[in-house]
Amino acid sequence: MERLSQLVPSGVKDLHAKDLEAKEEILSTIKALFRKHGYRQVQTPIFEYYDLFTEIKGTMEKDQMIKLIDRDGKILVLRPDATIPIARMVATDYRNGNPVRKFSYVTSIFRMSDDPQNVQSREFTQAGVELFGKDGVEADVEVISLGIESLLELGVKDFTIDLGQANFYKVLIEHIDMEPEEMAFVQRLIENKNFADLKRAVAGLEMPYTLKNALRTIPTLYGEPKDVLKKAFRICINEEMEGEIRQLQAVYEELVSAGYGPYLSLDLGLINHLNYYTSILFQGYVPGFGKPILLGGRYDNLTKQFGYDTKATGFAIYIDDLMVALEQ
Amino acid sequence: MNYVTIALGKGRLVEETLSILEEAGIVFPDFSKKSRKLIFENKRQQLRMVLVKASDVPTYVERGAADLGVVGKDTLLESQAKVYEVVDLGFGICKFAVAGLNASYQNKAKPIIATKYPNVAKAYFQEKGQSIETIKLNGSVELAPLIGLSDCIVDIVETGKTLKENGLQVYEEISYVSARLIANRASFKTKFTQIGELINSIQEVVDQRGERS
Repeated sequence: MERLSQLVPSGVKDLHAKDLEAKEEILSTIKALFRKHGYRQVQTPIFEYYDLFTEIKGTMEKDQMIKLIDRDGKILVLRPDATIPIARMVATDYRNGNPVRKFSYVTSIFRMSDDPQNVQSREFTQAGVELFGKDGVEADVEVISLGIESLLELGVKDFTIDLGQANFYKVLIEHIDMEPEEMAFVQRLIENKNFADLKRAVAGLEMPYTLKNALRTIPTLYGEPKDVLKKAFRICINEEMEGEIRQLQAVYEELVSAGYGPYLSLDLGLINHLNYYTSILFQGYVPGFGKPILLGGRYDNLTKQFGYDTKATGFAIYIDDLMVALEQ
Repeated sequence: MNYVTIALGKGRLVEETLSILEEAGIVFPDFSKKSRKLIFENKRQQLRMVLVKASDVPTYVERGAADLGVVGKDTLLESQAKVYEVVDLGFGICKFAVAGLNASYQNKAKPIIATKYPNVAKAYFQEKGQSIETIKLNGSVELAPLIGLSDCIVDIVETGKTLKENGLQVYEEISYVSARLIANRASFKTKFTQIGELINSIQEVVDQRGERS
């Protein structure tokens, strides 16, 4: 007979004193750093209405949310994301006064993920910041710099911050007449850097050469930044795309002159979470650890969906993954 | 400089993969077919090769235990691993297909499908809007419809000989399968120079071979 009373469910685990002490030390370091940079910590409820995460287009996979039923039959979910509730809070409670708001959080995230190799796939800790009401290169540079400083402060010596530009791709596909399924297929090939299948798929589509070439080129736009930018300018089909690349270039150059050059790489094929991010996005990788430990970017459309139009950018660090990566 | 680890699946793809690597100037001196070793090194080029079960290659690469891997598209699709799929190596070519004794499975409300690839089968029929039930088998899949275990099968088909000898016929083709070079997403960024060079030299060999044939 299974002794369920002695077991913990898959995807969650106990933290013994030694592990928790190590985690708390990391969290207090990161909280102090966020505070030093003017970010004030907030907390949103552990469960909220399911609708909050589903009415906002393309933010969360429905199957990934852990659901509960409220007394009146409404569906609740355990916090599947930190940013959406904070955007809701800002849109409802901070409409007046100074539009620039700097918030931080350290919180548990719950997902219905069943990765059998990850003991903390269903409950994990994220620490991050959100900067509202500030647009442009300066704000992006501020947030990305803080991301880099956070990893350094936490003792991560060797890491890469990969910068992408969501709108560069979005503008391009607005000019391509394709069925949604076909588009989703091509997008997956770009995300997977599946150059061979992408070439075959694009060859079968009816569209002008410039568009075909642009689609084929996007996943190759990674690596040495100067090269990438030069190639990216070449496939622009209009001024809007050029503008997005110029902005990425400006952010990159600012970060380099701040001394962060060695940590940076570019990848314009970084097009996941496309409905969420509206401009520059970034991911932090540690050698030998398969997943990004830091995710962030600009998401200017999110608060608009709660009836308050303001700019926003931020990032989250996956604390448990970071601890595993540090141990390696 | 760090070591770059390449995972190869034991079995049908090994020989061809090693010959491509050799043409690209990558050799593992201590490798021989008879060797029972599972790990081989090339100190000069800072490369390591590990031999694992073919279906485990995507796992090794996804988790970053190996930076690169060579695996059939069939195994890769089934594993649903999140990796970069950087080169179509152009060998091990076959296709995914639905096969059966006859087409009657198409008229069933919920046909039963025997397969080594339940994820691939589910994804294909889900896209068609057809409900199915899958039975996961680990081999001799062709037998299932013959003895009434299933209505049809989803499997990879190379020449069609096995199907024919068992009286089965292909009714639907699902997708093209070939050997792929896959890369861990983090390694791709953090060991960019080393891995980029390897990928380029392998791609060059594959392109040359394509021109020759």
